[in-house]
Amino acid sequence: MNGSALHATGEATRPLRRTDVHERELDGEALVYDPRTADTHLLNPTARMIWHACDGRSDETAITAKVVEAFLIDEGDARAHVAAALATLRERGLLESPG
Amino acid sequence: MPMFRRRNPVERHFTIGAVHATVRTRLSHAMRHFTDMYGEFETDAAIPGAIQLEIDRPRRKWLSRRRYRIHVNGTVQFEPEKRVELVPYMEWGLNWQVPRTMPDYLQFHASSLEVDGQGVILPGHSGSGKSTLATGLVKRGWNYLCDEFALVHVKRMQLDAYPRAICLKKAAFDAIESIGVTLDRRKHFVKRTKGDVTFISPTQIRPNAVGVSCPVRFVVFPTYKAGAASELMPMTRAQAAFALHRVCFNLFECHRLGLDVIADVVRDARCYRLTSGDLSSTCALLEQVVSAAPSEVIRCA
Repeated sequence: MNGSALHATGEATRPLRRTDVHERELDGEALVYDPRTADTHLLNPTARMIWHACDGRSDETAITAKVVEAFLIDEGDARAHVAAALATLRERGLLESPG
Repeated sequence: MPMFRRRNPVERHFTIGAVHATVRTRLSHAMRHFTDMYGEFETDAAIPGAIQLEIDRPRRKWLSRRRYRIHVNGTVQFEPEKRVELVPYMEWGLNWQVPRTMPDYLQFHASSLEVDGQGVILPGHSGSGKSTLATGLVKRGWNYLCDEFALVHVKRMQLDAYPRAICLKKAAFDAIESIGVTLDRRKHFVKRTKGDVTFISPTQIRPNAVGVSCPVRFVVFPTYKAGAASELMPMTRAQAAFALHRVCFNLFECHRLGLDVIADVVRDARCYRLTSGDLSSTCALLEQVVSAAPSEVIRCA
């Protein structure tokens, strides 16, 4: 099982994307192949940006700020997008489990 | 001396585009049907690595029904009972081996065509209308590569021909004849998954109809809907690549990582979803697409 993908550090959570998957970028979107499960995932530009922002140092607030800056959208909308995207990435096993 | 002597098996060799096959049988009707479809691709000598297809009909044992046996590369693959099932199973046996014996190719479940040196892939599962569309487009001057496979050579990144006979379901006969293609309705076969089918060689549709190797420039996912207006919806390349990986026969068995090849396939292609209803208007729409400059808007019929 993938378990939780969020790294708990005090009160903040800092998700970290898996680097042992194979990514191919196409016009801002990405195909991600997971050799553990042999599944392929399609990430749209927003999901790809959020996934790349999961560097293990940025918490959800910092990731939201990056999305606001990149896509010039309302912060409330961005927060909802980030929360949904992280939940999906976690569910698909594309984030590291806590060690 | 035996009362009668069994006929010696006849062996013939075929190079059907990228696919080589040797067919061996004592059954003259089986060989005749095969050469009716592939006679123009017959070669004098065996090709090393060719797919071996052998058909026999052993005597029945006790009360069991007498069956044909189709051996593919030395293994009995199918045992159809009826003669009308034989040709579809021979075809199936051949297709069965293509993904297993051709790791230099990434292979998709798709029709593939060439027009003015541009490769067009029409991927889709059975029933999506790939073969009917391929027949219609060949009739209008496009060149045929295959109605069941898109074979992309993973080093050359070219789409190659496997000009197998086009398999048409009975439900498509009227549409095909309405565009001026003559079918021999008496000569039909029964395919387990498709019911009554007929096979037509691309050169019966149009002389010199087989295309040449070419790069993939268009990926169009057709869905047949009876009575629907023909409609094209653009897809992103990533969406097309994702959909392509789902119809890939050998994603993990070819000589390069399949996903990388797929990404390279779509990188220079324009990608669409197609709803097809009427055959002529759908073919006209696709002609418009391939002749339009990349920036032009394609208006749906």
